[in-house]
Amino acid sequence: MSGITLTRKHKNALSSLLRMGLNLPLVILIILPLIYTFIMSVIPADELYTRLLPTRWDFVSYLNVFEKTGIPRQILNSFVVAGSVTLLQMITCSMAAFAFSFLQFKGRNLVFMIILATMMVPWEATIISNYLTVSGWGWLDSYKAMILPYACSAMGIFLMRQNYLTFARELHEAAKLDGCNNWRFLLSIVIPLARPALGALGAYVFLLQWNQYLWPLLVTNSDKVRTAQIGISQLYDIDSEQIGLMMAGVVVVLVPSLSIFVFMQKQLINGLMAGAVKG
Amino acid sequence: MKKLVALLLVLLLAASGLTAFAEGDKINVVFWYSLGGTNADVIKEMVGEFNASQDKIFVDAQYQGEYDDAINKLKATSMGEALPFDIVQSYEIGSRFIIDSKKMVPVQTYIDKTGFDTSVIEPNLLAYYTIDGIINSVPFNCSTPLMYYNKTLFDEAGITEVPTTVDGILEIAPKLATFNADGTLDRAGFTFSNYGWFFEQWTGKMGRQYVNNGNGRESYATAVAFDENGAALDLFNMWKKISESKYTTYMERGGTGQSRAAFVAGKTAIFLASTANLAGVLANVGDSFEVGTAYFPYVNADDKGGVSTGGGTLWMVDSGDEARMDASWEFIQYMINPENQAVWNARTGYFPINMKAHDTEVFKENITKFPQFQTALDQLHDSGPEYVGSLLSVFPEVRQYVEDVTEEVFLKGLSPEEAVTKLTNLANDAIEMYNLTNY
Amino acid sequence: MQANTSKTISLKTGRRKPRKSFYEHIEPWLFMLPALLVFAVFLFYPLFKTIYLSLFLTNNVGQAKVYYGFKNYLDILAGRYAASFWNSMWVTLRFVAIVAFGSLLLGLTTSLLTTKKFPGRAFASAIYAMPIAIASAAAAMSFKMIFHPSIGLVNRVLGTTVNWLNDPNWAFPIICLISIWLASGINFIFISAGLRNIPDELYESAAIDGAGYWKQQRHITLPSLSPTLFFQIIINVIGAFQSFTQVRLLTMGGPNETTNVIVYSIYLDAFRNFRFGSAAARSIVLFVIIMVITLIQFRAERKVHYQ
Repeated sequence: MSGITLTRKHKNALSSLLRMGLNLPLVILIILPLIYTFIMSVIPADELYTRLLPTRWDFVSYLNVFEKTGIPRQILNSFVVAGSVTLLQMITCSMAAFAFSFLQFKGRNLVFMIILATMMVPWEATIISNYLTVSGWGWLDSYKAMILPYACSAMGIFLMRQNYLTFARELHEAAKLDGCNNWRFLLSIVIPLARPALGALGAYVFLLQWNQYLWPLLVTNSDKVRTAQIGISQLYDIDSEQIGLMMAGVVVVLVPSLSIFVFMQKQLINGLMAGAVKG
Repeated sequence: MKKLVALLLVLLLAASGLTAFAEGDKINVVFWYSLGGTNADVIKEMVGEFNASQDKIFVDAQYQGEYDDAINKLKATSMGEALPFDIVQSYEIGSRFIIDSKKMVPVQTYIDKTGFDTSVIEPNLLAYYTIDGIINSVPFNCSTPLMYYNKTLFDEAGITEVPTTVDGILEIAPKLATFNADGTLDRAGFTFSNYGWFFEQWTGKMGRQYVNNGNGRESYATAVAFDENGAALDLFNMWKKISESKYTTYMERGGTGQSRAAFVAGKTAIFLASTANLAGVLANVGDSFEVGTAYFPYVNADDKGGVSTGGGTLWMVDSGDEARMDASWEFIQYMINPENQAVWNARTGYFPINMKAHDTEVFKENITKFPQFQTALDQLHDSGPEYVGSLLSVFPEVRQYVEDVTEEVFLKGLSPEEAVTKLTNLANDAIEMYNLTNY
Repeated sequence: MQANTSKTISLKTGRRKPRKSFYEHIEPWLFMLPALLVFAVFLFYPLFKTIYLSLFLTNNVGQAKVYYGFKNYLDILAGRYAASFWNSMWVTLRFVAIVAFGSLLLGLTTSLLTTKKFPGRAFASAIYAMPIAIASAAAAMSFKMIFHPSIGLVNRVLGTTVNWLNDPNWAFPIICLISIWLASGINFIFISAGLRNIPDELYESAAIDGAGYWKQQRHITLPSLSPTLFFQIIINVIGAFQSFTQVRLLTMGGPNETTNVIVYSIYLDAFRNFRFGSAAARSIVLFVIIMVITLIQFRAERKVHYQ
């Protein structure tokens, strides 16, 4: 008897080891660019052209990022823009999704289909006109130009609707019988129940907005409102001091989004997964 | 969750507060510039010193990305009513387009208004930006292309005469290149970047014109001229020869950054780049080897021509606001005064546009320590003003086509004759479309 | 109160038709108002404006100047820009196919590798999902250094001096590689979710029947995952069609237009050449193509589908 148990334990241990072994190269492959970026940001200027790995770490590039570049201000701008978009989307998507899941009205399915269809419109088809619209209104080089076009998204509506559909219909009936109107119902009952999905949506939208590149590139001119992604892309210049600066800039700009990812990981992944399974 | 919402609300409030950015009662002059890296640091310092030296004017210097990006920004904002800047630095090839936009006031107006003495400015530079006798913009960071070489390697290889033609470079390349054990190139004898600017410079070095109608100066260009005058064919033949040489490799296009990095790392013995790289190259190389500079090479041995200026110039926006325009002119004069131009030269490699800078201590010290800086100046003075470059509305676009086609010659083996036809068609097409909708 | 009562009665007896008040009619639209406003201004209106622009030639500041009819379309499909346009088409289709399937494969592999427990599984899962938090601009700058000819990681490790991003043979594969890396995160997340929903009993009974690992994957995993995989491919395709940043920052469409994806060519036409009319025409063509591909995918899914 004991002989068989040992073998199974061994088998499990062996499979664990095998799995570790198979995962290791992939993990290294995926994390390698980040590690390399960090190394390049701390390698001293005199070793840059001669060695791959530094003998000592020089953090001067990070000092330069904060003193010499517009990156600190740009990170703030990214926060403002991404934060505002996140807030706005959480509001508008919750509201619209509520209509699609709890309310009956003529054309409900048609409107929903149309909104879903917007997910397939490539931004290239609208970016030129949006640019002309926004510059015609004198919105260039402002926060609102970067925030308002993204104040709502079909993806967000879809996710929230999926989530709302899992709530029992009786809740709504009960609330109506109690004299609760739809607005109060949404605010005091639905939203608190939808908190995990809202959290996931928030994290996802924040990340998407943090990483936006082309639109902010087109509508901003000055460091006053320019966002971080544009900022790091403008750091390129092949000068030995500049390479370190560029890599340090990338690291600094990655920290916020990676932090959000790490802290909201469970919520984000669970929320996205819930949306995916139903889809 | 609640905390997250609260945080976001706070950020929103902060944002609305931040958008107010007034600087008190000073006149606010917005200056768009396009230099990056260490050269940008110098600009920022100079702006800072100007702001600190007086309290009437505040100059807000805003980086707009590379020249190509900056001119796109300019085009984009031209669609609005008021331009969001007062001074813009643009490259020389953007000149025709900027003049066409009719949004700038020619600096001649302010030269006359304040009695500025233009005789202190290098005549070749002034000539480039003078059209119909009017000076449109002020040259600021001007450069000519140079040949940089590793003097230490030259000495080791026993090369005593620095080549003056491309053929000369091809001849000495075998002595400078080294190979790996498996036969691949380790150190190139030379590397020429596929930079459209070089095409223009070589055309001038051959004494020929880039576009018709007096190189775009007598009236706006309607077609290219480098097909008929054979310049394009000569150049593509040259590129073909280069692509067949095993002592060099295709480096990059649109700039010279990678060639420069290779040079500093000792991976190429010769490279071509603007003199604006000189200070940076010297700093990066340090003591590893001796850096030499020489004139930009001729294409054919019997060429008679010269280089025209590259780099950038400062334009003043016609904002209608007298106070701002006067302030802008004051700032421009500050940037081109002898002391600042001397510092500018020493710390970047762009040559001083103000000839009085040669008398300053800073300049003299720098030249003594690094005689390499003199080459660009000599080259400029040796090029007559008749080789001043061309004016073309769609210059930036055509430059891209030049690089596209050169790439095909180098990497795909496109024949030089076909290359000329292809480039001519692409360029003339662009010119036609532009003229159709703008004139 | 009145309205509620009448509705409740009708539900139970089915006799009277419920009379909705005016407010009840418009209420849903009030909830949707912000969303509809945003879509109307920033999605539908621009779409139609783009179609309008595509019929004109624009001047150097982008204003529609000369009526051009369908010539913009003719120019890009069969005229002076056709060679470049069809090249972009071909580049884009290859790019989309490679990246959509490549990231799916990578996501599938990483998902399969983390289904069962092992020490460090949480860490590995976090790393596999991490690319979702990496901006393409940041990734582009990192990879620019990795592939730098003189001091980049790849050349240092391999001992070569190849100029990867400027080599017409390597630029395209590298851009594909970077895009796959970026998309692997979301693929991992969604496919893991799908895997998690396959009941263990299926695998256990298959194991009892003597099916080995690969047989199990073929007969259980893949069929059960197929809705997830279909959904993911659509997401990947849409995403790949929109890849812009990597091309702009690393290769600018070259060398020799080998990475000139349609998105990038639209950007160049609109924001470098300021030919908004022609760029608009390209966008519309792209839009039509994406719609067709997506519709085909939905059709195919419906046919193959659901257990």
